[in-house]
Amino acid sequence: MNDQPNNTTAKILIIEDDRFIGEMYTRSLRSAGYQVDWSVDGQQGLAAAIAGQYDLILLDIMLPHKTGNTILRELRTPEDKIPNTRVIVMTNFEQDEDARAIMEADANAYLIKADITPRRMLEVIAQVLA
Amino acid sequence: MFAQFAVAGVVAGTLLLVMNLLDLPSALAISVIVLVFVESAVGYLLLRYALGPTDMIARCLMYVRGEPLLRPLPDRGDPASVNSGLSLLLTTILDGTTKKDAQPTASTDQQPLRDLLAALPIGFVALDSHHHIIAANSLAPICTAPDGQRRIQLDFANASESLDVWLGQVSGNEIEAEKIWSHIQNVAPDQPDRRIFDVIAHYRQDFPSGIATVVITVDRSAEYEGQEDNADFVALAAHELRGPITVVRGYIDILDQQLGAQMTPDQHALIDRLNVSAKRLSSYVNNILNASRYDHKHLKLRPTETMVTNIIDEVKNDMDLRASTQNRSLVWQIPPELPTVAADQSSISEVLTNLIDNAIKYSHDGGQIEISAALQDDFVAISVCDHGIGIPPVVASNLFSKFYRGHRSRDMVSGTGIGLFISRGIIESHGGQIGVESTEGQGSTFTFTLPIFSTVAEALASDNHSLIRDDLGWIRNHSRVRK
Repeated sequence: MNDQPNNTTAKILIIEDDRFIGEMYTRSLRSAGYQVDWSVDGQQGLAAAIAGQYDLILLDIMLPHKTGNTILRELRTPEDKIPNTRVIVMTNFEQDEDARAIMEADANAYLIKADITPRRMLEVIAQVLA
Repeated sequence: MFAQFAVAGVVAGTLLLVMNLLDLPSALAISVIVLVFVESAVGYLLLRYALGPTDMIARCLMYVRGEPLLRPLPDRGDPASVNSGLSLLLTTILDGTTKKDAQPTASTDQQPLRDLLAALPIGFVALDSHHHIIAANSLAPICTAPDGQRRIQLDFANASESLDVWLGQVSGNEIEAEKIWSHIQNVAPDQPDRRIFDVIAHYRQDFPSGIATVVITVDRSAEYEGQEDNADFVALAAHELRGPITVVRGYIDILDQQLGAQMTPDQHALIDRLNVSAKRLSSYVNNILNASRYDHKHLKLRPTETMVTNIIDEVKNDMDLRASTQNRSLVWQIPPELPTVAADQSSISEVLTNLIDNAIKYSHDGGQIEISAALQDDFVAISVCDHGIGIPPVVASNLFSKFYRGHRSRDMVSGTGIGLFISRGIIESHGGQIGVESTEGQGSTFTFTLPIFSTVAEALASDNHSLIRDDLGWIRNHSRVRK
């Protein structure tokens, strides 16, 4: 059962280099009615994030060419380049707490991918976009 | 006649003492003595029996005053001194008086010892019976606390096994005791000048010179930091393992969602088993990662105000599914009116998952497991009770050690025993306690406590990400924040 509204027009960018995981979230989010773009590269993902006017970005950490930490820092500083965009950091690589706290300051949620399912992710997205 | 010489001897001895104290040249002292005694053979005897002891007393007095000595301290063990009582007098002067710091001289008989202590790559600290530092060498990890007291700067990950706790246990209760700690850091990993030590403490009731405990620290940073690279390896390995787990869990979830209506009950049951197994795999990876961090003092928790029901909600669906796939049932008895607690929610969820997982493993087919919560002084106690094979008392005390499993369970049920080890680490880092009551053949009740948020709010507000409770209240590092 899907608790998400199917008529949502929210636009979501997934920056995720694992093709299985990226494809999985793309499928799940599109089924829930979201508009989804997917980038597998950090550098291209940063460019898409700035240009695309997304409502939400799902951002992995361990990415080729530019890590999620760097992308988030470049998006939010020195000035916030995406003030109307929410960010969910999703990773399987647990950083030390200080690095995590810095990321959380610039993001709306921080999730361990292996600990959640696509349906649980939809619930989190609904909360973050609410 | 003898009395005359005796008076002359005392006068000369006093003169010699004054000259010694004033650092007048020995030659002058000798001249005075010669003038006084030159005409009498008895002078020799007085030199031996009156001036000799006076000189010995003078040297001892100079030593305790911290004056440089031109000759070594007198031998207190020679028979004449012992028989005459002089030895006792010298001992009283030397041991019963606080010695000022002496200027180092090559002839001071303690200098070789000082040189040795300075040259060894080992820290030495002497503590008095109140656990205050009375001496330490430069390599000992020493800091100055906010109250101005010098303290040994060691950050024991497990507060219940710290040096202070051990000293409290042995002081006055033991005649002699020794304890060794391995892999103890002076500050957290992200702090400057971090070092990692092996620590040996030796306590004796009858140490001389007011010393009660000697603490020796051996800096093993180079070796242990290499091991911390292993912790980074575990983090990277966990990342690699979690990728496929994410995909397996995700696609099972999508399949369940898309095929739900078309599947038979049997197929639903198979999907449930896949779901449960993938979730357990994820939990095991979390346990391994956290155990590695705990071992290397990297486990940091961030307790926040939360309701017990929120923690329960986090795990309830997964645990119900896990129990039902193994023909067990869970009964949740959580009163809604409990006060909020200070908890790192995801970590406490892992603890609950570990305890319920064990209860499922060690209970009988069709068994019931009760999860309950109750107020207990400044804490909320959460219990997981099964009616399974139970644990003999001799085994129960070892259950929370890493990789330990009960004697019968080793053969009957698979598992590593890592879950209880990391559960204890997580709960103690919250300032709570975890324990078990069990009757063999009847079942076990595991209980852990979490502090009520209002009792620790002040400590958490002062930039504390973990809490330690000692006899007097909540502490963080060495700063007491709550009485």
